[in-house]
Parts: sequence; C-alpha cells; structure tokens
Amino acid sequence: MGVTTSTSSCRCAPPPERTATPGPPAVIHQIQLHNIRSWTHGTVALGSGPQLLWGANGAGKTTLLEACIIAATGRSHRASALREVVARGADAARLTVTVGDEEVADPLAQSTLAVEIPAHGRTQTLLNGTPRRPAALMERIKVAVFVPEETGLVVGAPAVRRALIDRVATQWHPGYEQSLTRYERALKQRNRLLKDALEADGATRRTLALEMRPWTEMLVATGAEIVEGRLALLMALDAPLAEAHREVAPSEGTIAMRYTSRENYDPSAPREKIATMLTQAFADTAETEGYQGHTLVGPHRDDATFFVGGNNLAATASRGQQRSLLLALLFAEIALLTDRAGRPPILLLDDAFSELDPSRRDRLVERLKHLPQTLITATSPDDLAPNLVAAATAIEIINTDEGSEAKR
Amino acid sequence: MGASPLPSSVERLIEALSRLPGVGPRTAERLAFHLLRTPIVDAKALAGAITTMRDTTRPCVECGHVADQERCWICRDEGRDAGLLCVVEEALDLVAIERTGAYRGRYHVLNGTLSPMAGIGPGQLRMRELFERVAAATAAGTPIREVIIATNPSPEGDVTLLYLQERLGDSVAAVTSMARGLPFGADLQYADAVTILRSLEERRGVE
Repeated sequence: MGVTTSTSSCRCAPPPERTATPGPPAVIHQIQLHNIRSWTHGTVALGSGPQLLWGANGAGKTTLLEACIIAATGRSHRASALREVVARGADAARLTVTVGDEEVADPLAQSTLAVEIPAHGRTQTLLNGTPRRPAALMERIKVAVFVPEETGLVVGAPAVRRALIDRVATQWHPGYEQSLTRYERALKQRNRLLKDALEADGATRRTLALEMRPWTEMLVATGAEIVEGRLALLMALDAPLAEAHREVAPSEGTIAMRYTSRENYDPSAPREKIATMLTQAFADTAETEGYQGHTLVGPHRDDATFFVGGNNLAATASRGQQRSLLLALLFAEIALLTDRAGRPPILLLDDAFSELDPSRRDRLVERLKHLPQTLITATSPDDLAPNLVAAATAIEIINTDEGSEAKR
Repeated sequence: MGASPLPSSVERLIEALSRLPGVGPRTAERLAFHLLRTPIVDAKALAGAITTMRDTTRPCVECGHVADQERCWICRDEGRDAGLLCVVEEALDLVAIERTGAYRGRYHVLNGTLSPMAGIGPGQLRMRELFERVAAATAAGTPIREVIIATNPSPEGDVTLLYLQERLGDSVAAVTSMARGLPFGADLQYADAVTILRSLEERRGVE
C-alpha cells in the first residue's frame, strides 16, 4: 500500500553527512518583495560579505530576513500560517530571492526562488519561473539563523525549541518538510474530529471513531518520519555543538542536547520502532483525548533539553550560559548546513548583537568574516562594532508612505 | 459604509465572481470590467453557457460523473469492464484518466475527500453509494474484482484511501492505489531530492 512510508522495506535514514545535491549557491544577490507586511514593492540588491540592513523599527528589515527563511524552509519564524505575511488588503504576496555564485554575475549560475502566497488558497513555489515543489527551492538555499524569537530557547516554551529543530532539520534532510506539513495538516483535521466527537451523541461518536482511525494512522506514519529525522539531526549536531560550545565557553563544561518525549525514544530508534511506540501511545491516550477533544501525543508535543556538565540548563542556566548556548548552536548550525563542497549557509542575524555581550559579539564577528554572506539587521550602524561596520555594506531600509524601500 | 461608486448590478457581479475559487476581490473587479466592455454577444454567450450547462446536466445516478442523461456515457457503455472500478475525488480526475484511453473499467466519483475541518465526513461524500454499488454487484453474481482508489496524494486524499481500504477490504477481492514516485519519462537527475527519496523508499522488485 503506497500511502505512507512507515511500512516500507527501505529505511532511508536522513543523510549521514549532508544532502547529495550540488550544494546551495553561496550568496543571495537580490531579494524582491511584493505585498509582504510593510513592503508594497521593493528590491534589495546584496553583495557578498556582511550586509548591514539598518533602519528604524518597523521599517521592514526583519521582513527581508523572513523572506530568506521562507524561501529556505517554506515557513516563517514569526507567522504560524504563511498567509499572515500578506499585506493588508492585498490579494497575494510574492517574494523572490535570487541566489548565485559569489563573485560572478553569470545569470546561468543564478537561480530565482519565488514564493507566491495568496491571502486565500494555496501557496505556490517557483524555481526560475517554473512551478516546482518547495523541496526544489530548498535545495538551492541554506540559512543559519539567529532571531530574537529564539533567545528564550533554553527557558522558553517547548514550541521555540521545536521550531529551531524543525528549521534545521528541514534544510538538512530533504523529506523532512513534507513529513512535517503532512503531519500538521493531519493533526488539525484529527483535532477537529475529536472536537466534533466531544459534542456528538453516542451513535455519531461511533461513526466518528471509525473515521478517526485513518487520521491516527496518518499521524503515526508521518510522526515517525519526523521523530526519526529529529533524532538523527540531534545525533549529527552532537559533535559540532560540543566543539562550538568548547570554543565559545571553554570553562562551562560539556554540552549535550537530548530529545525528550513521553515515549522516551532511544536516540537510534529506527522508524518502525518509533511508529510502534506512537501507535501504542495513541492507544494509551485514546480515552483521555476523548474527553479533552484534542490529540495528546505525537512529535508536536515533544521537546529537547540542554545539559551542561550534566546539569539541566533549563533549571540552572545563567544569562551568560544561555548566550553561550545560542552562539554555539548557531555555529553548529553553520557547520551542519555546510555542504560537501565546503560552502557554508547564508547567515541571518536579526538584532543579534544587542542580545550578546561584548566577548561573544567579538566571536560572532570573527566567525562571520569567514562566511560568504551575512545579513545583519540593526536600528543603526552605531549599534555594531566599528570593525564590523567597516567591513560591511550598509543598506538603509526606510518606511515611506508607499511602503518600505531600500537605499544604499 | 458609504454608497458604492458603482451601479448595484456591477457590484452584484463582482460579488458573484469573487466567490469563485482562486478569484480575489481585485481579480473579480477586473473580470467584471472586462465583461462590461466586451461585445454584448460574448457576454450573453457566457451567461447562456452557464445557464445551459446547469439546465442540461446532472450527476450520473450510478457513478456521480457529470451526465446529460440519468446514467453517464461510461456507465451506459456495455463494452466497459464492470468488474473494475476506479474511485476518484472529482469528475475532472476521471477526465484525466480517460484521456489516457487505456482504462476500460468504470468509475466512482466521490465529490471530495474526508476533511473534518471542512465538515466533510463519509456522509457528505458518495461513499454509501459506493458500498451499495459493490454490494449490489456481488448480489447480482457479477462481483467487482478490483477497486482502484485514485485519490490525490494529499493528507486528505491519503486518509480517504485508508478509510475506503478498510471499509472495502472484505467485500472486494482487491483494493489497490495508484503508484507514486518518479514522473514518467523524466530524467532522474532532474527530479528533486524528496521525489527521489520517496521513490527509493517505495521501490519494487523487477520481474
């Protein structure tokens, strides 16, 4: 039966190293925004090295980074549904990110990644003007990200940690985004069914239970793919994270990131085993979810915990330790998303420098010197280290009556 | 709310057009203004085509396909294999399969997929008709040998497939689904990683 992959004979685990694609081109040459948040229509041309996007709050700087994240992952880090980015009153938003080799302006070495987001209806992704599935775009661009939404990573809600894991896993493992999208869709549908059952009489409830079964099967199949992908990602992150953390915080003790869930999966559990455990978990909670009216188990409830020197960071972390972790994770993300040809991802730093103290800021500046391109947002160049500003291309983002625009 | 700058007949048309799938308010305005300027015969032909279509068609009582008689031309065709039934979401999916010219069985149109969020359960789809059709064929001594479920590979399509598979399993000799994987005739090197990954997972033995 060809619906799900949980029963398939081939275990195509996430790639042990990196995706086998030719590798993402090194830099973004241009970002075009149309009817996205404060941008009515705008084009921002970018060069290599640090690109400083500066301007007042609300000018639309973060939206530029958001556009890159959407092109690279199919999701926004600050909208639960993509249609939220569509400017008020507009039929549809469109973003276009042109990526290519670092030095040459050869149009054949460039790819145009476009995402069209209608206010109602289905998002469309286009590669060089041709409709392709989101995965085809994601092969062309990789981003490592530091956003203020994630500064509460250690002590904040589990959703923040899941979002980070999902963002990296999506870029690391080709099938992950599809599994996640299917899972989320099936979860919403199943929750609606549970809610309907809560309000239904006995007879209707029995027919709904029959209808529930295939949705549960779908959640088990796609959920097992997600958990397998996350476990594999955490395993792959282990060494680069420890190495980066030793570099950032040599005195703090060894870091570890562990997947935590009700099912308590073995870190090397194969997909079949995960699916069996999930099936059991659904059986165990069937009665309780019946009263509560929503799905109680699955990867949407899972979490990750950080340990430093064996201590759970969530309970003990100081501000300094949290910053070390954020920076180490960012460096590990860069290492993990660097392709086989040695090309690192594009680094996106949203208001990162105000979150870090001087010594960690210096480390970050040092690191991004070795990257082909970094997009940095700040309210003013004065907020940044002078040596960084000197090396950066400054682009002012202003919000006019006509919407946001960029000035070099 | 101030008075509309447009005559109410134009407003009404814009409102009607904006209810069409994929048409937003701006597009509806553009279409309405196009129809305002187009030669009157063309505009009337369009209006007439809509009315005639609705007046002369109805769903086939057997399979649910669009028909101009009680039973559609496929269900009336005696040359079709009555032991083979292909279940599709929409009549347009049937049209796509017919275009191949290779399928000689009959169809069953569901009119959608299971979708609790859209308020669509088995009762809102033509599922009872499907089960009755299968049972009637068995009772008549000409059982359906195989039901091919050709729903789309969306979560909803897949869940509908699983549901039907479970419900039909005991009453039909074979329940099958469409194959998935690499697009036919396309080069492996042009396929995206996800397609190749899924195709690898669903690989099969070579005879």
